[in-house]
Amino acid sequence: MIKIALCDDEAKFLNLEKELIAEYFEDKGMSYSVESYSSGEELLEDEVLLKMADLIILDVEMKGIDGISVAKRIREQNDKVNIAFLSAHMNYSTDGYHVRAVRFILKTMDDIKDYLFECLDCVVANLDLIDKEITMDFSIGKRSLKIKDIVYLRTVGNYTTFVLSPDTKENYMIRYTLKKLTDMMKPFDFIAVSSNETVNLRHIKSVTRYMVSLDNGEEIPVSQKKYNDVFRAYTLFRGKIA
Amino acid sequence: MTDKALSIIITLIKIIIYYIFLKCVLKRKAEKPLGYSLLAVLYILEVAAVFFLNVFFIIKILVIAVLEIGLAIPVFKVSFKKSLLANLAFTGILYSLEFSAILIFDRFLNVKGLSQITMNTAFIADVICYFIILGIVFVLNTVFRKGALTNLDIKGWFIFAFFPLFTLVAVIAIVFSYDAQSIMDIYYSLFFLAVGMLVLNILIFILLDNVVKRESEIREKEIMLEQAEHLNQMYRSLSDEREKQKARSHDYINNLNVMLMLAREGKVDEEIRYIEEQLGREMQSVDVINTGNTLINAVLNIKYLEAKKKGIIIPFIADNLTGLKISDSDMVTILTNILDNAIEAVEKCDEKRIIFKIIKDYDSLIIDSTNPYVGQMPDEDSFETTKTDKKNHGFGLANIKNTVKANNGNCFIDTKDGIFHISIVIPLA
Repeated sequence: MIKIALCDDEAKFLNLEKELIAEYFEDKGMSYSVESYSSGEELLEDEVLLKMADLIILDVEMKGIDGISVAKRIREQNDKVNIAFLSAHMNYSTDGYHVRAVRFILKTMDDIKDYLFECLDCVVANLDLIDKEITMDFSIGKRSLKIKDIVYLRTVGNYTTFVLSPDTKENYMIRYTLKKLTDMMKPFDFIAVSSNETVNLRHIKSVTRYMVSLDNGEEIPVSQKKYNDVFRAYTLFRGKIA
Repeated sequence: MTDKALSIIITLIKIIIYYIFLKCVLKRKAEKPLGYSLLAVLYILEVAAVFFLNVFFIIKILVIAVLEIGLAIPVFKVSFKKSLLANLAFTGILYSLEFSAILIFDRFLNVKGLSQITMNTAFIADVICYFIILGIVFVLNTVFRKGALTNLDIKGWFIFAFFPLFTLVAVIAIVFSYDAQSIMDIYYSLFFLAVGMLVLNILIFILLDNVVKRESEIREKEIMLEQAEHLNQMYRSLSDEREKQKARSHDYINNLNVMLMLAREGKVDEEIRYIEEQLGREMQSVDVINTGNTLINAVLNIKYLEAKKKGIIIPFIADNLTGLKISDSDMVTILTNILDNAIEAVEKCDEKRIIFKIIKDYDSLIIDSTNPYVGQMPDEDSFETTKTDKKNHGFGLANIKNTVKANNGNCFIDTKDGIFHISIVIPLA
């Protein structure tokens, strides 16, 4: 279930937004909950919600604490929650964007529906991806792994081993060829960097000739033949998630 | 006509083709008038060598080679090494072709018991060889000149190849459709026919070459015009904005006066209504997206309005983009081309959305755009427009890629599951 917090000091818009959110999730047949607040102060008092929410939608131009300041305060407590702004303008010229808002939703009568729905699509897809798991028969037994926790796959003899972050100290080995696993993991943004390793693009910090630096501190050599493919996939992926 | 006269003509053709060959391989032109006079000198000396050294076959070849290599150096202003290599390539192709042509002719005619005309068949063999070399020169010329190959479509290739091939086939057909005696009778008319066709081929080759060159020049000019037009559009919108701003400042004073008057008269409700009205108007007139970079704002806002009219939404994701060091015209080229392509593609889709990002990440600028598409979208390799209306749409992707390259950046495209995704990274340092 997706938990949404909505904060807008204009009752007219607040109701409209609630209706639209209901329409969106009912159309999709998804379960959801919406808590609405009419000021930033009120929202910030609800600490439980701030920890639990999946998406917080904030009006930028509010009386009292404005939406941007509210977002900054939320970020101090919750680094992961999706934040979206409601405003008649997408103003990136101030510091607002440093709170890493997913979207600016245009708050005008003829735009709000389209932009709100697009934002919800984006958040739903993000949440889906974060929790995505694969289940496999490892040599230590059947286990489920979150895609985002897999850093890379490496060939060890007839086996392929999964390197995870954070490290679980368990040995996730499977009697599959790396090639087969690479094909399986490709839809989840994995790329072969050499004939021995396939890396999760989420964990790449940088790509140089001929090395990838990973966010767990490791560096893995990239084969000369694969360099162009790796650099291309990394650039496209970085653009997509940026 | 004597063999000597034939030699004079054959040598002339050879020098011309040698010149075209060098011009294309060395990618240089002879300088007027010095280059051309030296070529004339080369011609005279070579004819002399053919006349006086014919008995000493090896010496003749060596002298001709020295002349050709030596004189090509000042004509094309190249090093000895390059001239030597080019000459070796030319002579190599020429002799191997000549040799095989003579062998084929000899064999063919010997079968018919006609070996007595071997001497004359050598000339026909020569002419045929020059045709083949001309073909080789053309291919080299096309491959070596940057972009020329991509400019030439199948029709162009066909026209280019048709003339020499047709001539070759025609000459061979004519030669073999006569028996030995009649060939001797019409030998000279046949020879002149062959030479005439050769000259015709050279002329057509030059003509077509010029057409291709001009076409690529026109294309370049069109791209430049398009860029200028984009830039103009942005500047116009900026100056419009300034005009509006001036009018707004003027209105502002009026509005304050009205509000003051209403306040003094105690008409609070009327004042509130008036302020709400003004506020609504102000809100509408302000730009939808603001990145702190005037030019980028202009482009994005124009495209936002354009998209809105077509029912397309663009959630812009941006950063504070003040102080970018990429030139205005490059920026406009990249952004307008990406957004124009995207808007055009999305128009035909049910899901009318373009997700557009322009953000700073560490030390680079990332421009990233995704949109759904139906039908054909260009893939990464072609980078050519697939639009039929080239005149108005320009050369979209090729243009983007060139501009990104000029800024030391990288540009990648992915088309998967009906989603077009372009990602650009330009270093900012």
